[in-house]
Amino acid sequence: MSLVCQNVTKRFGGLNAVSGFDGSFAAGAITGIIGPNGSGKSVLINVMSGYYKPEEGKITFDQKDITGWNSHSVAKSGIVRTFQHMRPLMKGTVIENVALGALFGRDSSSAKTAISEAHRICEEMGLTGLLSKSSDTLTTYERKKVEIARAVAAKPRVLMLDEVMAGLNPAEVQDFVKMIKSLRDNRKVTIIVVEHILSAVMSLCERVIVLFNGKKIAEGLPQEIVQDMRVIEVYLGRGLANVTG
Amino acid sequence: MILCFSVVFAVFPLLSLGDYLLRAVTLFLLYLIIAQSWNILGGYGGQISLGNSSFFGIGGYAAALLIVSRVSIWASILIGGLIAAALTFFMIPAFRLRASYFAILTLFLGAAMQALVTQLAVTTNTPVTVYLPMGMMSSISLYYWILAVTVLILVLVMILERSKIISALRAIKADEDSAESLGINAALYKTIGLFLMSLTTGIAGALYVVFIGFAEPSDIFAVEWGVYPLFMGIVGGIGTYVGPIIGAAIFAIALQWLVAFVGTFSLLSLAVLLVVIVLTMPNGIINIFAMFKAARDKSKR
Amino acid sequence: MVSQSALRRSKQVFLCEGPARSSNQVDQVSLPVSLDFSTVIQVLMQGILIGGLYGLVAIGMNVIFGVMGIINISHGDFIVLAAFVSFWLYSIFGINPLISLFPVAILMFLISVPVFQVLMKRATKISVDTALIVAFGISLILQNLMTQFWTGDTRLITLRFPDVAVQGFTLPARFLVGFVISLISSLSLYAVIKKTFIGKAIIAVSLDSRAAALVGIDTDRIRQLSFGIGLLMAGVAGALLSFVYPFVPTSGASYTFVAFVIVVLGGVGNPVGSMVGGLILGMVGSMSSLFGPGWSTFASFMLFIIVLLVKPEGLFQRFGA
Repeated sequence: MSLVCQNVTKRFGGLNAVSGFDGSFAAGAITGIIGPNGSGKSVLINVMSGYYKPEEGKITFDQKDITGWNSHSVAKSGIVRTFQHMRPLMKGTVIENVALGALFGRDSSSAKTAISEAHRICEEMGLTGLLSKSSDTLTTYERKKVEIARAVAAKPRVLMLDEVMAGLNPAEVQDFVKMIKSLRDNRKVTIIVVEHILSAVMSLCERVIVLFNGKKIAEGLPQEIVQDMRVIEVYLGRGLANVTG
Repeated sequence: MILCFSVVFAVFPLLSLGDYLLRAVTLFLLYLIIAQSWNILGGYGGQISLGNSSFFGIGGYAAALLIVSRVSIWASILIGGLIAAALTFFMIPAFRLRASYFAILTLFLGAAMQALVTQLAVTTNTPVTVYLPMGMMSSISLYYWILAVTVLILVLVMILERSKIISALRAIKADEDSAESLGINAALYKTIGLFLMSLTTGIAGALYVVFIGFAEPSDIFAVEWGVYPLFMGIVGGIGTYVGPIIGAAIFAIALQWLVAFVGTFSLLSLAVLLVVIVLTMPNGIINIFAMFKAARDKSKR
Repeated sequence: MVSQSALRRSKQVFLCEGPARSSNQVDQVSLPVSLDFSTVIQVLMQGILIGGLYGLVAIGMNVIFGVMGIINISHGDFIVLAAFVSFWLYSIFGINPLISLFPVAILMFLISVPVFQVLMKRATKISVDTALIVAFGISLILQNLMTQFWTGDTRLITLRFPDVAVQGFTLPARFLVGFVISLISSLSLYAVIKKTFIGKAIIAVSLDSRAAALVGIDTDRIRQLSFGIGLLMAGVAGALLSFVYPFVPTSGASYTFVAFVIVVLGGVGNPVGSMVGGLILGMVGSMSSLFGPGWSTFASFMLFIIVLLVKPEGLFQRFGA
């Protein structure tokens, strides 16, 4: 599996949300994308998943040029994402929701097989107690898990999680970190995580990309990034950066 | 469930409860067809259509023209339905926009179709109203045929419910972007839903025309036919299987009552009722039961 | 009372149709389809003038849509309601619609308050679809009430304006008057929104209501106000309509359609787009009606579909100009 972005630029009415982004995501790795608010992280995810079409640049997935593809085509080819702001879940039970992924994703299954696949995934992710619970009675933690389970059911080669841990308490964050790691280990899926919670990024990601004002300003191991002057400057401001340097 | 429905309604005419009741129940079945049709795209899919009158009207008018041109009744009805379904192609571009645009577009599709049909008649110098030959079939055999179609459509929706199509529509209704991110081609499924809805509504229109014996544009294209399924769906419960059935039953009775007591104010009363109901119980009667059940379960614990 | 001859004259419909539902509708007048140059230009110019009115019609819907995010399907029916009020004010009290414009607009603004508080506010809180259905319900209710009380007869106030002769073509002055007033009203509204504080609050809420709330703007009040402004503009449009165009209780639908098409194609909240869209639609409508009254609706509808096919985001951008 190979996912490569070349010079990706997304503009909104004259403003560059993402400028000339170059990046390649290693197979089976967990890569983090961080940056202050407005740095273009979600926009980048939206472009890579086909939700937006870039003004410039190219996205290549497994040697196929997927630039400008529709979201559903991108999803069917194996790149699945979750949304930053919680979107309404389909009215129905948890198992019905998770099965959606299997019904329509890559290598989609028939109705019956989809349900059994969904069962397996829910078991793996610790959702067994909630299977027949109605989707509008879930807690935030449960909802986010269901969203991820649903995405996993779509058999992604690349899973993009957009600020999926926002709103979780520290214990839940730790739980999610463990869960995401085991997802990768069990399924060999490449994971891209957009996150604000630095502790999670540090323990989860093997590689981190830093965005600021739509441009990539740093890339490397988490330990390197945390000590990178430019990154500190961007988060804390130049004055403070001089102090901590 | 469908089985017992069919049996009840199949036995019904044998009770020979009189012509009036026969006609009333026949109408009920027709209402049920248009309610369940609307439910496919509007209820499950959340794409509210306000202008199903266009499909109803085109199906009816086309069938009438065909019957008058000596095409067999059943072929005419089917072709009428297909012509109504062809209107889907006009609506496809609308699917790129949000659902509320779609709703309004359906409304104007209705108006546009009526204007078109009336205008064409004037231009080609043919009479606007099409009268069907008398005595094509007895009320009873017509009743059974309509019952058969109703059952067919109920079966169709039941099959659809278990199929990908309605699952996709339900996902689209909840959140289109999420649905797309899972691989659902929203535009495709919305089009399929629209096609099915327009086909079955068109067939209903054709059946109606056969039932009353003539096709009059200001009748079959009237806004009422777009309001009725909306009303039935909302009252009964959108997006459920049984909802439209209950809605149709309530509506059939209510309409009779309204026409008898308030006459010309019927549509007005329906509109007022619609507004009141959609504001007070937007999920319909079916869900009132669900709410009671949930409240009871809660108090039991 | 409007004289019988005036009413008869008013039945010379050559552009307006509305969904023909009641049978005592306008007689199908067969037009002199002489497609000579002067007729075409004349019709074209009338189309442009009507387009100005269309632009005004659209602006009201634009404001409501921009702020509340719903398409007010009953917009056209409020316009017709205002037209009727103007009509009766003229017929019974002899008040010139150019003057009754002001009280009618204010009346519409006042009506908007209970409609919003009782119906629309609750509806938008439930869901967008609910608001749509409620607006549809209001539209039906208005149409029916008007038909019940005032019958389906066609109405038009005939005012004595001299016919303006422009380069050898005669333009009925009323179109010109309607056009000028529409332009003035639209520009005034535009100025008010851009320059006043309240106007900026309205723009804020339409762009991002949550952010606006955080900055301390009372979004409910702003929504109420926008709904009121929308209906106020509908009132102005209706008062103009009463002497520019013949109307019946069911005419509302075609104006709602016109407004909708203009808002979608012209860009939400874009006044220039609204005006241009209005002009285009006006021309299309009048040109196609040369072939017969029914073609106008159909042609406008097809135009809309075609533009959607080609450029789904509309011809102008959101909140442009």
